[in-house]
Amino acid sequence: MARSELIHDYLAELQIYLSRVSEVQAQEVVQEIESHIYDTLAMQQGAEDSTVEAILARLGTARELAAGYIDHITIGVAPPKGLKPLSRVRKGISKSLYYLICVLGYGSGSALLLVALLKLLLPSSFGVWVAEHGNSLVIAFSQLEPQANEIPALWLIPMASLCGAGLLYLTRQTARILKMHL
Amino acid sequence: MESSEQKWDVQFRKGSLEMAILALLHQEPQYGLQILHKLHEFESLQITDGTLYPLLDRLKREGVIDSFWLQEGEDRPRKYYKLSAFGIDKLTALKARWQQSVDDIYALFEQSGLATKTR
Repeated sequence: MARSELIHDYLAELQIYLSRVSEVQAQEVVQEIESHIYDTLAMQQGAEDSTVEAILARLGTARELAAGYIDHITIGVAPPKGLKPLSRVRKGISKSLYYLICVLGYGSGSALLLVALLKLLLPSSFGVWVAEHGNSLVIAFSQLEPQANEIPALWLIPMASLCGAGLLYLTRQTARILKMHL
Repeated sequence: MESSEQKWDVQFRKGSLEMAILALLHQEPQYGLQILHKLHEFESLQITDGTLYPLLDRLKREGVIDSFWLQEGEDRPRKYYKLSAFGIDKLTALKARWQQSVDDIYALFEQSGLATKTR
């Protein structure tokens, strides 16, 4: 990976991990670290440990560096003692929320992809029908149902794959953000 | 595995590093990399880049140092730190406590026959 790309990725990641401080503060931290990296590179030209990798290693991972900033902020504003059980409950909620979102998101996303795949592989024996005047969907292996209210494969396959992939992507993003706050 | 000296350094550093940074900034404002290089001149004060910057941020939040951005010539802007008025007071107080602590420990060494009276 190119040198500037490595630095860019590191700083972008740092910015994400600093989401718990205000945007202005996070921006300032990122600018300072960026200035540090380029200054170190310029000052140590030719030196053995002047590679971007070495400089980034001395800063620690973006997550560790961000934690250094966030730890003393969160310690500084610790809630009063009486609120401890409350924060534990809140943490419990966000943890169960995390698993719920993972199960629902990944589950539904995979199911949609599976529907698209099945329709592609078994076009005549698998399908999705609109039933009860549009109020419900029937997903089934069947050759007997009337074909009139079946969603055509031409629509079903791209729509199901697109929604499935979109859902998986959104779940992954949401889970990543939630995990950071766990 | 950490050697016992390294463990002692960690313990010593908890209090002394803060004071060292304030002392470094006593003469003139400096930016992160300058502070890092100065600290690296002293064997027991060497810290990693990733430790210094969050520490500077904490000291700033505590109000003992202030910061400002400065661009010199063609260089990219750098964030400089300087002692605040509160920081100067704190440094004076810390220095007195440090001196007291060193004197006390040394006196204890003398009483225990670990050091000869030189003063």
